[in-house]
Amino acid sequence: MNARLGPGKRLLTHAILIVLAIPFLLPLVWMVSTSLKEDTQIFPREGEAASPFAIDNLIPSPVAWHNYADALVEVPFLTYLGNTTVLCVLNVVCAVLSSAVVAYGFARLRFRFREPLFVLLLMTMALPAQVTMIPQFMLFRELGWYGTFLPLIVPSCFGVPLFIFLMRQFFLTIPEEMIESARMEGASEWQIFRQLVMPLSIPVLATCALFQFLHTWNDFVGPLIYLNDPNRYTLAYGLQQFLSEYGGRWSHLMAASAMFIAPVLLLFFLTQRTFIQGIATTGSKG
Amino acid sequence: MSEDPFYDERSSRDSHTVRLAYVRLEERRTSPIMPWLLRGLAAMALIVAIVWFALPAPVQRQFPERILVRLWHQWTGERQPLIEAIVAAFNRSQDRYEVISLSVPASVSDQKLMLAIAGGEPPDVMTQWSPTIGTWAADGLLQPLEDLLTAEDLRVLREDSYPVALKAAYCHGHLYGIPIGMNNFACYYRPDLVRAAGLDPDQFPDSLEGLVEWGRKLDRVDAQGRLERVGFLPSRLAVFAPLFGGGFTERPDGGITIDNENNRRALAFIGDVYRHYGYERMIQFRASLNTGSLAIEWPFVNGLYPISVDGQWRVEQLANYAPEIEYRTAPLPPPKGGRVHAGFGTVNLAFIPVGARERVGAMAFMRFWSGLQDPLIAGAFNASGGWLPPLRTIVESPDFQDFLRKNPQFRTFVTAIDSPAVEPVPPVAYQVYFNSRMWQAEDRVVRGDKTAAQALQDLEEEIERERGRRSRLSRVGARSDGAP
Amino acid sequence: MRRDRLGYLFISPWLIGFAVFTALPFIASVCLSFTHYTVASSPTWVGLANYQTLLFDDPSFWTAIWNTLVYALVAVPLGVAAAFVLALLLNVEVRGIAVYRTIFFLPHIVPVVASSVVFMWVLNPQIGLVNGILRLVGIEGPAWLQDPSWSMTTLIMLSLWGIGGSVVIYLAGLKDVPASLYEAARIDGANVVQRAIHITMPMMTPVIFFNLVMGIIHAFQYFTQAYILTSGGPQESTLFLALYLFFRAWRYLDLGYASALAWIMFVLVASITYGLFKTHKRWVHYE
Repeated sequence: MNARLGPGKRLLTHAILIVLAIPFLLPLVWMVSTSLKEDTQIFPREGEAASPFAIDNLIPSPVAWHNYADALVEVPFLTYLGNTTVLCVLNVVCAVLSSAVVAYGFARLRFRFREPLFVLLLMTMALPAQVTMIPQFMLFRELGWYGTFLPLIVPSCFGVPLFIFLMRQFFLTIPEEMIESARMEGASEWQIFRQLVMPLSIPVLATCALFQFLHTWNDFVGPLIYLNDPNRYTLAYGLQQFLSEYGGRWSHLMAASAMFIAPVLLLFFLTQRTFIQGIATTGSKG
Repeated sequence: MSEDPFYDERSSRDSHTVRLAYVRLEERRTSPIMPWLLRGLAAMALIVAIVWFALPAPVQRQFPERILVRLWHQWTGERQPLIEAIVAAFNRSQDRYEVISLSVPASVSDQKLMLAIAGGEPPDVMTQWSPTIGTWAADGLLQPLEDLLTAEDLRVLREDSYPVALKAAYCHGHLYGIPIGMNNFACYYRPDLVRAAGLDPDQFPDSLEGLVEWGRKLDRVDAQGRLERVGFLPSRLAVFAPLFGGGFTERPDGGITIDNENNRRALAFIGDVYRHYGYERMIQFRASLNTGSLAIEWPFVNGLYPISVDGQWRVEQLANYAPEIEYRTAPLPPPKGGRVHAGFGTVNLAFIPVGARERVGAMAFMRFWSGLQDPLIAGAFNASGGWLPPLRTIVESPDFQDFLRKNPQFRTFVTAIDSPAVEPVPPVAYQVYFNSRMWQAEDRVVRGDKTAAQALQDLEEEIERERGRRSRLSRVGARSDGAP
Repeated sequence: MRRDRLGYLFISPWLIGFAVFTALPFIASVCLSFTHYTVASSPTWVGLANYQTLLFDDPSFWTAIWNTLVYALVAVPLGVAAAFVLALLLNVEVRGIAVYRTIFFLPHIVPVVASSVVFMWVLNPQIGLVNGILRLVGIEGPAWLQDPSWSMTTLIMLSLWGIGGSVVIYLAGLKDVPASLYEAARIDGANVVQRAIHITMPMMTPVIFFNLVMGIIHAFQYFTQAYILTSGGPQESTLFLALYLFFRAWRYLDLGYASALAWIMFVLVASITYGLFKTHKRWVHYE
């Protein structure tokens, strides 16, 4: 609403953004295009070699809407969607809250071994998960969690190093005077964290929530390794069902992909303001 | 001044104090009861959700009174119902076991199996189509199967299996897998394009040299000198080496026959085709075919690659996705003075992982799937899946004969697989390593980086190094095992 | 003392989680790196044999180290810089900015399989879009993914396609830059670029530092795209450490060897990260 750019610069900005956006948009366009083609169109015939990107072939004709219905029938979409949603919600809530608490500790509290412990936290991200997979699997099995959702939820309740690091970086930029003055007023550290730091950090909290959400949404290996009941699997597993050894029905894969990303796309589009504005808007009202 | 794009007053840090006051105010205004109620409810919901999902899901059984046999297989999507049908047929056929199947996509199946074995929770039956059995058996992941089979079963396996199936399933002196399907390679060609090039599609060449000739007549080059179509493009040393009388088999000392005259000739043959067209030009062309793991098209269909050496699964694909294409199949001919009926085959195997709970039931199901129990029934589901059956009697079953009548081009594969000169990837302990390094060696030659002789010599050295490493490690291991 | 306790109280979730879920697997994998372990049988002690082979008798390992370093040292700074510039652009108030932001974030949403298929097509040397455009200006492009002298460059360029994640983080940070600083600069007559370099950049150093460190850590674990698009080829030109580790662990089934590889990798990443962390006080400005 407060357009601070002149029309010329506005146009220029649009031009630059549009040009840059093309490569980012390409896969989506192609995905939707393929998802609407008949299967026989996907094996290009003679002289059609370059077809997927040729303009005349980008728009499918006839438009095969039925691919979406077919893909929905091929896997229990609703079951997967339910499982995925539950996993996502639980993981996002647990990961963001626990990470914020830990990050505040690392950012604004002084205690012995703070620096070495933080370096240790960073280091835990440096070892590839491939080699801790087996010991971790055996640990969860000893705990009796094999075959349940627990290995997929509980670890994120104890802070995610990536988010702790990111939030720490943001918490560190809050002016010390603000926190000091709150302390002078007699606020406890928990109150400062809850009532001062958290509200000021909505953008970074939202960013972490988004990353955790996407991670859980796309995670296909985790559920597959710890669960054995197809009724407990997630959408990412359902998506894998459309890939087969010798190339499968690309139309169905792409239709499934489109349905797979639609909720995420919508969510991001609707909430993207949060990542960059958050409380700032509220604040200016005051 | 008002045109600064990076200026946004609402972002101002200076308003923090204002915000702080606002937040405080807000805090005071809201009644303390509401948030606590809400929080309590949310916490309750969370706990309920966690408890609910923490409980292991009960296995959904149709026959709860029967013994459970768990099957993990790699077929996904539209192929999955075919496996379900086999499972259902087995569950109907007897009343002692119930097989429950789980589709584990191939990209993760190895990992899931390893973790399950490490954690002591393996399935009772697992299927695998990549050649890994040698490595897995050597590392103690698999259960030897002889004890679970009757003498009659073993006889049928010995006499009715295709030779390559036994070569692939027996390793380190034991039977570790039951063949449930075969894969092999032959030429697919396009009579329409062949005719257009002035050749007679009924006179398919009977020598590799003749095939190269044919291929050259089918080539097409565009105005800029780029290859637009290559008639015949040999690939896969494992497929060609046996034709030259070579191949890769286990030596008595545990190594593999790699660097020998016949293999050198085979690899040089492949390399020569590339050299003829120019290495770089050929790599460009091959890259443009997009035949990688995510190939969305098979260049055979759009005519870029009119004589294509490929597996029997293409027959079904063509029937489904390009039914109007006129095509034929023919066995890959040997070179002059080469070995006839030679070739390369892989085997889909079912096996029992170490630590499996229900071995007898697992074997009962494997006998059913493989056709050891009843080749007539197996004929039906092999036909519906378009699979190349593991036993000759299955091929002879009425259902499969019916399939062959409908898909006459499939016969080439059925005939070609039944030869003692068809070789698998040798099931040695370092099988998986060898298989990937063999590809690398071939790649060096078709890029003109190494001569065939050099590439094979290097490959042999590399394999010997890995073999030495493995045996050193297991020797050290054995010593420390024996220590008190 | 009280302060200590309070600090530990706040970080206790992570401390507990670390002790329970991370420490044990870490220690286990250190131990495994001195063994021969193939999952089914119990591990057998082989001393330093795995490390010895890796360091002195495994050319593929050195290729992988080299490739990974090249990738990390080129792709990470490139990505950090490109994401910064893009974030500045996306911080502008123009109509439809929400749509643009969503578009640049798309690569994180679209399944890798789907996007990889598209890249295969776009980069097809004869009929692909990229070479088609190059041909218009008279250049015959290479086989991007299949030519060993180009494959690394191609993967590095493709990495830029995934900068949307960093952009979101920058965008979150950009809103914390005090407006008073801009105002002062404007009065001094600084232009847009000068303001970006002298005000925005220093204020953003905590976020830049984060993106740099995470970029390095992720670069060393770079896997999925290389696995799907090139599988380490052609001629090991895109064989990265994580890829080689995966092959050794799950394909050739040698978890002891893979663990040793992982720990060498760990030491490498750890020392780079530690170095960055030690120097960061000099160039990262908090508050």
